[in-house]
Amino acid sequence: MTRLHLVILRLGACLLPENERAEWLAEWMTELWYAIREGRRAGLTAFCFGSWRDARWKRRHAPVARHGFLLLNPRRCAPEPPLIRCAPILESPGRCLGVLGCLAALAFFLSRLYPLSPLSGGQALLCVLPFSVFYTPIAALTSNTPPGEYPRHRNWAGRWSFYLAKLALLAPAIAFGTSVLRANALRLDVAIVCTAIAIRWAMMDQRRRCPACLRILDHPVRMGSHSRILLEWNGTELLCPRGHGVMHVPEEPAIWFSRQRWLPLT
Amino acid sequence: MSGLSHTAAMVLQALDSGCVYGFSLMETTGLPSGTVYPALRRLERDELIRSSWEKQSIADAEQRPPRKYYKLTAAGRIALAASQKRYPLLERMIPARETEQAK
Repeated sequence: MTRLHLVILRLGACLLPENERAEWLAEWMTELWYAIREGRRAGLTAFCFGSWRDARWKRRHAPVARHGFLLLNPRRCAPEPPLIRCAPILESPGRCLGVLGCLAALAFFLSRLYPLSPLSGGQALLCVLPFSVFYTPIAALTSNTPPGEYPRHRNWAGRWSFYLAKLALLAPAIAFGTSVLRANALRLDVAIVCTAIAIRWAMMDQRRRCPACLRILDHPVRMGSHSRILLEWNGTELLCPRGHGVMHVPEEPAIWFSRQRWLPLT
Repeated sequence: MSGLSHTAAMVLQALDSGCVYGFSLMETTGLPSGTVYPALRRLERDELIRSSWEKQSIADAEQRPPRKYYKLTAAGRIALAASQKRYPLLERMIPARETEQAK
């Protein structure tokens, strides 16, 4: 078993949902081991490359939706953006705010330790805030995950407070965090881009949380049967880990089901 | 289950002939790994075959890694019989139960 074969198999494993990776890799490595033991050395590289097709098939048919950050279960698919990968840390609302608070505090201390930019953190914050006010409705309108349908009485105050708290912690984290950049113009550009990313992240994070307890929804299940779908699965259902309800997310938006819908169970 | 593709039917026939591992299925059918393994997944998903890992103790005793092997289910046998009617040359290409390595 050469290093090349192992690299090919490991790369193939990256295509798979994380919970299936170990068993899949074990099967392929075992088969490779037996092929080598039986003296079949020719065509082993092609054999290993075949594993990618197998991994792709498994990934395609895994019970996880493929489109949109909202639908991706951060613990099952790779590759993922780093912010989504660290989502288990951010699972509960308290921990999420705690992590963002630590980030803001760290950025503040960094700006005090390395005050390279002549623009102070407070001044940068004043530039970031109007932009975030201007950009928030644009992000809401252009997001690939439109806002869902929630029953009005469902903890709306808690949800909005959580959303605003996230933004309130992200804004100083960005404003102070960019103080490590010396050039003012570059600093403002970076701060604005980071603000845009942060607002989008805050929205997407909000939409994959239970409206009752604000925990990240889990256990995605794709709905529909093979014989009754034309192009794509009907949708995905995600469960609240505390059992507050089910989120139905359409895979392909239709007239009758265009936005994600929350079904309270308690 | 008469709607199985020729590839899936070949894999079922090879399994019936006694090839129970992925690599031996590849050798018997002459299909590449990128075709055989997805076909195995599909057949398993449709419950026509069943996979299981060899016991670790058996593999340890023989100083080799445990292997995953595949078996036909009852539904798989029915599907294979239907496929043999649909593809008459299948049995001639891979004669059933010709080897003893089934177990």
